[in-house]
This record gives sequence, C-alpha cells and structure tokens, in this order.
Amino acid sequence: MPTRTHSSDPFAPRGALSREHLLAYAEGRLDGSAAHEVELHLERDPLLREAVEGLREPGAFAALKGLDAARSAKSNGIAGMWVVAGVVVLLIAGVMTHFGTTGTEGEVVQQPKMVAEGSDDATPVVAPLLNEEIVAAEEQPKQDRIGHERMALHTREAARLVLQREPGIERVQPRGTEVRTNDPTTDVRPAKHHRTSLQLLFLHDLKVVHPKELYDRDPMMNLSDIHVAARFADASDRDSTHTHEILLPYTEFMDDALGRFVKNDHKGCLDDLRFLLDQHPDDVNALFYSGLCAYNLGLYDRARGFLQRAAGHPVDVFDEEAAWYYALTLDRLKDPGAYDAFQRIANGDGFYSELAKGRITAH
Amino acid sequence: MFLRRKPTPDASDEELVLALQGGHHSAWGLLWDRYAHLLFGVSMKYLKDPERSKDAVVDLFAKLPDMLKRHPVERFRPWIHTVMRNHCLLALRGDHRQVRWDDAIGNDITADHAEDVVLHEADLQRMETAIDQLNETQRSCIRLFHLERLSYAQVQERLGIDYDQLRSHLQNGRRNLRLILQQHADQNA
Repeated sequence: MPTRTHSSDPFAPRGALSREHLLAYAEGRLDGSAAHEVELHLERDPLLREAVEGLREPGAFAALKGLDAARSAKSNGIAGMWVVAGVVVLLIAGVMTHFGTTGTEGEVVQQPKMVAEGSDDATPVVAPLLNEEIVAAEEQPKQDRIGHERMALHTREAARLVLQREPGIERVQPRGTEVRTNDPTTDVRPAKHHRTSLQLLFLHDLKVVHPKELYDRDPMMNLSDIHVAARFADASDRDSTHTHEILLPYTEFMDDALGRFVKNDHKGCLDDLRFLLDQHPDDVNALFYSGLCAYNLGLYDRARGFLQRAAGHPVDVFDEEAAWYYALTLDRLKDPGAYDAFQRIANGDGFYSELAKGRITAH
Repeated sequence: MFLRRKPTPDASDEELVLALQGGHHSAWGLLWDRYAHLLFGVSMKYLKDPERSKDAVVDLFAKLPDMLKRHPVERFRPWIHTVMRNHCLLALRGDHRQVRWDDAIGNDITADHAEDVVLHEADLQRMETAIDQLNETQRSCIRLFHLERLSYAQVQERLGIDYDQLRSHLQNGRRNLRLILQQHADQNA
C-alpha cells in the first residue's frame, strides 16, 4: 500500500512557521485554516505551545516590542568575551594594516555589536535590529522629528558656519575604530571648538565622514549578503532580484540611504543603515543617522543606543549633535539622565549649548 | 572588507550553535531572531511578568555563548526551552537569590513530533481503521482537527468542549492511534 506523501499528511504542518504568523495567531488575528496551520505546529512543538500561552498573557505584546530594543544583560560574562574578541580583532586588523594584507573570508572574527559600559554588572548588548521592528514602527508627527532642522550641526549649512569660525584645520592620520570600555552615557565629550580634521562628504546636504577616514579602503556594500532588507518580502524575493553578487560603493550606498532620510522615508533609511551596520557594526555615519531614524520612528530605545554610540565614537565628527539628540531621546523616554545630558551640553558652550540651556530651564 | 563568511539564516540551530561556539557573533543574532520571542512567551507563561520575562530572555542570551561552551547541546530547541522553563520554575520557588542558569539546565523536553513518526508513516487506510477504534470523543477530535483541518476554536465549538479538553483528547488520541498502529504492525510482522 502506498505511504502518504508529506503534503497530505494530516499530522504534519505544510511549511515552516514564521514569527509573524505565530504572533498573529497569539493575538487572535488568525482563524479558520490559517489558525489550523499554526495549530498543527503547536501540536508538534511544546516550545511553541508554551510561547503562545505566554504571549497571550496581559502586557506580553507591549513588552515584546521593547524586547528587541536596547536591553541590559545582568552579567559581564558575554561582555568580557566579546570585548576580548574585539581587542583580538583590532590587533589582527592592526597587523594586517601594518603588513598591507587584505585578509580573506574566514580569517577574522567580526567585531561584535556591543557597547561596553563602565559598570561591571550592567553591559548593554545591542540586539540585532529586526526587520519587523522597522516595519511595525510608526513615523512620528512632523513636529516631533529630529535631524531635519536646516541649521542642525550635521547639515552643510551649519558646517559652513563652523568652518568659517575655525580656520587653520590640519590633517590628521585616519583612525580606525576601537572598542571603548568607558561609559558613553557619562562620557559624552564636551563640545569642542576645534575638532580634529577629517575629510567629510555632504550627501543630500547631510554630513558624512568620508569612508577613507574610517576604513583602509572604500568598502563595497555586498547587496547579495545574507541579510534580507525590509524592501524584500523574503529571502526568495531578494534572491530573485539578486542572482549574482552585487557590490555597491559605500558612498553610493550612503547617498541612497540619506536620500531616503531627507524624503522622510525613515523606515527605508533605517533599513539601509541596518544593512550597513550588519557589515560594519561600528560605522559612525550609520550609527548617527540610524539614531535619527529610530527616533523619528518612535523607536526611542533604539535611538538611545545608536546615538549613545555615535556620541562616544572615537571618530568624533558627530559627537556634539549625537550628544544633543541623545539628550532629546532621554527626555522623550522620560529618563532622569536627560537633565544631566542637557547640563553637559549647556556647560560645553558648543553649538547646542543655548538650546540645552532652554531645555534645562523648561525642566 | 568582507573578511569572514557569516552563518546563513537557513543554517540549522545546531550549525548556529557551532558557529557561536567558534566565535561567530552573527550566529547569536540569528538565534535571537528565532528564539527570543518564543522564550519570552515561555517566560511570560510562568512568571506572568513582562519586565521579569524580558530580563530573563536578555540574561539568557547574554549567558548563552558561555553556556554553550560549557554544556554539550545536541538539539538546541528542546535544550533552550528546558533551560528557560527550569529557570522560571526556580524563580517561582520564591528563592530571592539570583537563579543561576547552570542550575536550569536539565533533561530536554521531548518534542511531541518525535513520538509521532508512526503516525506520519501510516497509510490512509490503516489510519482510518485505527481512528475508528478510538473512543468517540478522541475520534471526533482527531477527525475534525487533523482530517477536516478545522481550527481549535471550530472543533471546540462543534463539540462543545474547552481548549484543555480538546488538547487532551488530541494528545491522547494520537498516542492511542500510535499504539493501535504499532499493534497492527506487530501482528503483521
């Protein structure tokens, strides 16, 4: 007698269960055959069953949205491991740079996505930014958005003023990135009147550190990488678009991303920058503009993480503006640290000091 | 600039575990994508507290690389489920000390489908015969849910039973089916 095929097996689900379907089911948004498909999975998997039961508890969905945002680990065990890994990466990168080697796939461990804080028992681990988070986010009202001010420090207009005030800029050697072990929340550097000189670009009138200041060579963004950008429905959709390896120069990639930003397409911009950060986790341009996008999408925990890292980044081109927007983010989160953040900016007598004083007065 | 090959999203859990043990941090992210929401749900089921549940998930993932180095894991899914569940149960015992994750490692929860191989391999005719030998409630539940593909809610409504009863009848019905099919196989051997 013939054995039943898998597709006709009444005990087997027809395909894999996506997170979206599971969550939709748990929220009670599926019925009939769609619910049955999920339930076939539940029948087979105790983990799914318990997960659904728990997700139906009061407050679960609201908390789940926050789960993927910045969060604190209770132990520095993983931090220690990854910081050590990061140091190893830097050492290897330094050796490679010294000997002019390029490296091949598999030789070097990628620098971990992690910011180490000063406290021994509170190390925030930067969770991967999920496609679903971006898709679910909502654009904030125009009056609540940041980064689009004409006279913001990261715009060409403001840069002209700064350059007029600061003649005699000297060249410095390009610097690589490094893993910081201090706490950027308390070490947001005071505004500087005389910045070190790094070559800048202005894409859509927005400031960008030239990639040659960040990397030994202009990186190529590998669009055929594993990541599935939000603009694709799924990996197969992406694969049907990219059948061959597609490399895009960093500058073109950033131009495209910031083009989305100026058009208020913060989801598209954040999605692009997520892709970039996936390949270059410490890219200060991506960190800063990801922070602005996240803020404008109401992803304030994410914004805090990005801007914190941009403000404390060794490449200090965005430190003032990132510190300002970081303070605004804390204020938005009703974090008591907002006052101190504004205070530091006000004391720094920099571009945003007057605005910060106004905020302090309002507090 | 692309110095290493990342674990791919279609890698199995066990491949990701190996990659993470080998220092590929992106494997951590992929495991997070697959499991964070599920483990959060498990934690919510037991702790009924969103903040504690979030902390539990974040804490577990922070410790994960270290735990995987110290504990051999053959099948990640039941293992991580067991760890989270045990952790919650230990936390619920009222011990106010920090629950150590190592204490939460225990025997894997066996996935139900591992026991259902007999059902998947049975042909329709033998299956129909076996279903007819179930008691009336189990037979109805198995028929409506597995053969007519009705949802839990539809079966509950049709039979006037609650969720727990339905799940119990389905589980017991499949177990009895398996026994019946095994008996038939033994008799024909």
